[in-house]
Amino acid sequence: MTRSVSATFDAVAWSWVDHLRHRGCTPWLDWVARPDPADPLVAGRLPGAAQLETVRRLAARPRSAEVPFTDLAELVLDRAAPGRGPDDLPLLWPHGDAREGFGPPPVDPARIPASELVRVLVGALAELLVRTPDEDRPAHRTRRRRLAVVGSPALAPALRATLGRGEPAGAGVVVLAEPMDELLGQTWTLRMRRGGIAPWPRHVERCARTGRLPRAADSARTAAHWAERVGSDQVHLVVARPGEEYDAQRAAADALGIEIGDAAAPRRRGPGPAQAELLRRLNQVLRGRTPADRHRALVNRLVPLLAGDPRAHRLTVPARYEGWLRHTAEQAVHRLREGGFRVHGELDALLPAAPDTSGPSDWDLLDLALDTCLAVAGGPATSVVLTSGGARR
Amino acid sequence: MTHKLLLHVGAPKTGTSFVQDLLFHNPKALAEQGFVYPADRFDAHFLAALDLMELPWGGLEKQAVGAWERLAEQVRDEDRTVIVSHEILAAASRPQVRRAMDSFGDTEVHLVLSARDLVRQIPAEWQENVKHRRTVGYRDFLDTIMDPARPGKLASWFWSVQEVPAILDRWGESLPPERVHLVTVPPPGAPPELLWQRFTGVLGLDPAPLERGSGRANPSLGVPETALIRRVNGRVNHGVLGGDPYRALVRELLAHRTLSARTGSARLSLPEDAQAWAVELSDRWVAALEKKGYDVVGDLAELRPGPAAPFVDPDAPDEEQVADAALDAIVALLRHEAAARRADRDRERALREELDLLRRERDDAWGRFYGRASYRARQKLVRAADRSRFLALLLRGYRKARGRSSRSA
Repeated sequence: MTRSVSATFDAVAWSWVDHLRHRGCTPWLDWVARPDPADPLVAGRLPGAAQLETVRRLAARPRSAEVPFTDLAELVLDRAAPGRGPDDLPLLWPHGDAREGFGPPPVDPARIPASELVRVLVGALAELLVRTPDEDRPAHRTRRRRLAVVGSPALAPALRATLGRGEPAGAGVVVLAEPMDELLGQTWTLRMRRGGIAPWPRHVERCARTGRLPRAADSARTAAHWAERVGSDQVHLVVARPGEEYDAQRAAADALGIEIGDAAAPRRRGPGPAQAELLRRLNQVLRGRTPADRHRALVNRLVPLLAGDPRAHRLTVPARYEGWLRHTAEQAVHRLREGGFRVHGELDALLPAAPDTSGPSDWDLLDLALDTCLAVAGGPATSVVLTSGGARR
Repeated sequence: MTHKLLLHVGAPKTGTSFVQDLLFHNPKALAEQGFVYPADRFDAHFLAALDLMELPWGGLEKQAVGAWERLAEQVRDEDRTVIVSHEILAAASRPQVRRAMDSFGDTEVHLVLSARDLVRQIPAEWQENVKHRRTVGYRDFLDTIMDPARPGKLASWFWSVQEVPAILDRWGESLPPERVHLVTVPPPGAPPELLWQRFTGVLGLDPAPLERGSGRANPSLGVPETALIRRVNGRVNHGVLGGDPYRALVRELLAHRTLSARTGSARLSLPEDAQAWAVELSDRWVAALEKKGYDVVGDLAELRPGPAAPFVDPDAPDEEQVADAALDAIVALLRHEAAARRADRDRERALREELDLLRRERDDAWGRFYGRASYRARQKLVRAADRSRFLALLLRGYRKARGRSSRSA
């Protein structure tokens, strides 16, 4: 590349950076192909192509108008992506190779894999979160009368909240049981919510290898545990299939003798598979950046801002563990059938079913990460977060 | 006065562990020469690098929170010449390098990179991958790194720590070339102390007062031994062996302490196509480096690979040799287990002896107590109270006044 070609490249590239900083979202090769680029030449090293493409995609999201975009763009452009992967990627220049004979190959930013853009966004999100000031915690929590509604981590909290408003007639315990694959997925998402870093397949693998399910995924163990305390005839096993939450709530209320009137269907809690995967990647970064207690607090703050529909995807059990899971679920159903519990619903519904939706793709995760990043950047602490000094880049 | 920082950023497999070991174990000798290697633990600079680069590393990153800033603060606060060294720093990206450089304040930074020719580095990197639980075959590894697109994490990591001109370009961007020191690793057959002499030369250290360290190094394995570890990985990955036991048993006990001692086996080398490619690439690197004006300690020509060594394919190793290496590994594990059992027994024996001693001391104490005249007199009085109503009433009154209900003497 001659000096004049290099100068042209620099001029066009820096004008594109300027365009992106101001919420422009023209792809790089379209920008290069413009007949007359207005080229403010800026000295210095161009940001990496992955960072630039991330900013472009952030700008293209509807919510980008609601955040101080230039500051956010600066934060993204000035940071390396955390963890391992290609860094400092040069922009593809259709008129020659801008390199000095070494370094990573130039790329068309539009063709950078979604997983790499997610890596950039996870770093930006971690940075945004770490910069947020600590919140004052309330001195004490308001204690809600605890009702014995246990089981499904996604559903039990909502039912406890609804049923807690009524007065129970007896001393029974409701065990909310769902298909075992669903519960196993919930235990994983819950772990990611609490700082976990194990990918979903490894979570399943570990359970299969040890032959032990997490307590919340093992309805038979939960029911047996409560039967020892209150007697099996006081344990109400409510089968709660996804999509039948309202029926499950009604059955639980009837079991406990609680009048709930026309209460709405309970909303499932907890992140969905895509949200949990984003949390997992974020946890990997945060645990190296903040002490464990602050890490937990930051994730707590992030969870309400997580974008996307938690029910858009379902986790699928890796094929080689399907047999193990089915066998385990059949054993659990057998134990539940023989346990003398009061069963509300069809126990066979607890066997794992082939999911009707697929797991999140990298592109789903990218959309989620983009919107979550904008949600955090547009949050109440934005001015502090985006302008605070001393942060790493 | 501005003080100096000698920042040694790698590359891996160029004697870095040896250098760090000596520096860590000789704080006094360094101080006498006006140097400091600020590390309270052997891996302090590794943790700082993990923090700088936000690298997850099997859970170790949790110990790295804030480690870079702490190290940078030590660098800023020193008035002696500071040495910082870790090979994974080679992988730092430009924003990370900028952050690192900014964090040193007005310290005069000298960058040091030790480099070895690609023909020795490539097999060494594959072996390092194997020692870190990877199961990728040698040919697949070579194909991945030879792909110009550098696909995936494996290739991007390899080039981030091994592409000498790019590492120097990133780290040296804000430095005058005379403050960028490239130490070349001498070719095979050179005196073993030559590399150390080059290091100490660039650091400005007199090596004589430095005593041997712990002997820590990162020894290499032969073809059957690496093949064996790779197969072991296939069996112990996926949750069978956690990070700590893997490091202790597979990497340290088997690879470093047992299999690396088998020096008679074939060494890893490159097949013909990879050798030719590496030679061509090295020529380009040397040409690029010559233009930069860096301070070369050694000779850039040493980055050009020597004659090709005979290639023995680690993907299809001699099974008898692998079996022999496996026997050595089993023996090492048996000895380790026997030593652990012996240690357990010794600990149990020591605990029993301690318990016996405590019991004897207790019995002696009781004996002394029961033998006292006052105790014997009180005991006699209590027995008499069993026979005399008057004495029984007196004793009850005494106990009530004393405030104790126990009837024991």
